[in-house]
Amino acid sequence: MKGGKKDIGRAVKERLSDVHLSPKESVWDNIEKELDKKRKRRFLIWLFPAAGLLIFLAVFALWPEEQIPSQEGEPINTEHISSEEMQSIREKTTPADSDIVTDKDSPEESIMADKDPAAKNPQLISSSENRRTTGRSLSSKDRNAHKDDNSFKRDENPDTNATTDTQETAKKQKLTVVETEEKDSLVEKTPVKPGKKKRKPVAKAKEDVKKEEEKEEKFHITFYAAPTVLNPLTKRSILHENLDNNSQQNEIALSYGGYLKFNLSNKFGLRFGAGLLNLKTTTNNVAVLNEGGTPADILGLSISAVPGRNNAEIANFFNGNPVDLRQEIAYLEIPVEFYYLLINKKIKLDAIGGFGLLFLTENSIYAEGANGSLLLGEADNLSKASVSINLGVGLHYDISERIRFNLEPIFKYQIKARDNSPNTANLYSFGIYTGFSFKF
Amino acid sequence: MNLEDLIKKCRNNDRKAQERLYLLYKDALFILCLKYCRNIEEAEDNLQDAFLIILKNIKKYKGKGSFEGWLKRITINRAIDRYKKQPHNQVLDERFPETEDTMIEEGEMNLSMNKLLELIQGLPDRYRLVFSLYELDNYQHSEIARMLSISEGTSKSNLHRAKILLKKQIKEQESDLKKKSMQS
Repeated sequence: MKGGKKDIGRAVKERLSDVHLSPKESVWDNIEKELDKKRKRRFLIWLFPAAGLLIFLAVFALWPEEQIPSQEGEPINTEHISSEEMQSIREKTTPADSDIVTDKDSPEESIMADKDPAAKNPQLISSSENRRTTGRSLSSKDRNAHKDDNSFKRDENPDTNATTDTQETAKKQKLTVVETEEKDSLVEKTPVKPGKKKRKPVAKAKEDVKKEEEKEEKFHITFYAAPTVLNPLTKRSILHENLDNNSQQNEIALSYGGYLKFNLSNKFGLRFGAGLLNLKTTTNNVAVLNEGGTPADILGLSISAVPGRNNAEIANFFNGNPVDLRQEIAYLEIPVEFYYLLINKKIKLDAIGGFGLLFLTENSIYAEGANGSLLLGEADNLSKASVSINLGVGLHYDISERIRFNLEPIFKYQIKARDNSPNTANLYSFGIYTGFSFKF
Repeated sequence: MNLEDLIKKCRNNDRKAQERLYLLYKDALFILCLKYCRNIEEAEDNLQDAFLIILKNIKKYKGKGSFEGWLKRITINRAIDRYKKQPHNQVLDERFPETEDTMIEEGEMNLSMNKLLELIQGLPDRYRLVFSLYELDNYQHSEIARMLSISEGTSKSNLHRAKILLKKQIKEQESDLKKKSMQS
């Protein structure tokens, strides 16, 4: 039986009022995956510098004392060592030396070993502590290298072995072996005056070693990544003075790049390169001044709208509610920086100063509200090109002869970064530039 | 756990609370998506996108107004964005004469709910959005005009056209059903 007439809209609404349907279970799985991705992205920004720092600390903590060139690398001038010191060196070095002797097949070497009472003494050979430490500093490669070397005969003398061990760890064999060859003969022939210690020749040799080291690394190629933050100490807006009282969130962005570094002298050098300096900031609760028009009309800010964007769509997005304005700025950066070596130890410390040429490559303003995110356009007050003054320090650690780890907190203050907005906050950034150098 | 606590935990990115919130509102929001999208797959995609926006922006919900209303607004806006972004499906500013009757006999609505949803989903995007906004979710033409970037007149004529199309399709379906029942 037919009932009365109804508008189709109302009829459909009534019919659908009891509908019960559920989405597939995979929908939540996908949401969860996306949420995890976002977390990972946030985590990755910190991962690179944190991993670098961790490697750096691990290498620092685990590096065996015996292999530290700056402490052990100096050749021992036996001519000026007292008999007590000599005895001490014998005790420390003999087991490892004996270890080496037993590896040799040459009869000549065996004879040399026989002459050495310490080498015959099995107790000394198994002296675990010394064997571990000194034995480790001589790799099998090193030993083979010495097989063909005439100077090796002399190494079997415990006194001279102390010298060659330390020389090897200093990686300056040529320089020190020649010296010790001379000194070894003197140990046998010249009576040592007790208590007489001359350190000058040691210092001289050390300087020579340093010079050798410095000569090796004429220039470096460095790659870096850096968590960078815009205006970390400023509460003011870079967009408009009227927004100074709004809270600002300066988010951490990831910058990256590379540079070439030239050593101009032992302590002084120059570097230049190219990189991308990324900066992000959000201004919260920006009030809507007009219901319609361009983003500039609605917010009363200097914003160039995205070409072709429908004003009604923008007005609909705002819907009269305050929004958060997120600014994403990126510069192509060409830094030219000088550095001065302040501390030249296991960890090197540089003072860094210079300037950077900055070319604006991204300048986007997004509105973020309950309806999601909408690209509004570009900030009108940023210069296309500017210059930055860069100041910082660099911590460096040589992981190997060719690879260096760098950790450089650098402050960059921009000059002429803004056009036509003298009352807005100036731009500066702070970043921890972390990376690796390859020496050539 | 009450809703306030649940929202608070979601703000702190508590995954279990987020899942609980999803379970609480997934059906209501899914039905909403079904009315605005072309099929079940797109409705599920829309639900997924909308929920990601909701969880990302939940800190912005200040407790003013109904929470469910806030969730629904985001879900509807997401669906509108989905079809507005596709150039060939953009809502066009055009008018149709409002002459044809859009009334239907109550006895003519014997279709299953799934079939009825399919018919709504089969409407052109421009008609389906206006029909769902006005008839099923009680938006005014002025609001629809602003949301879809069209004039109020276009919103009215699109609604009328949507109703005519829907009525025609319902009648066709009903007559098919009658034929089948007579044959059997």
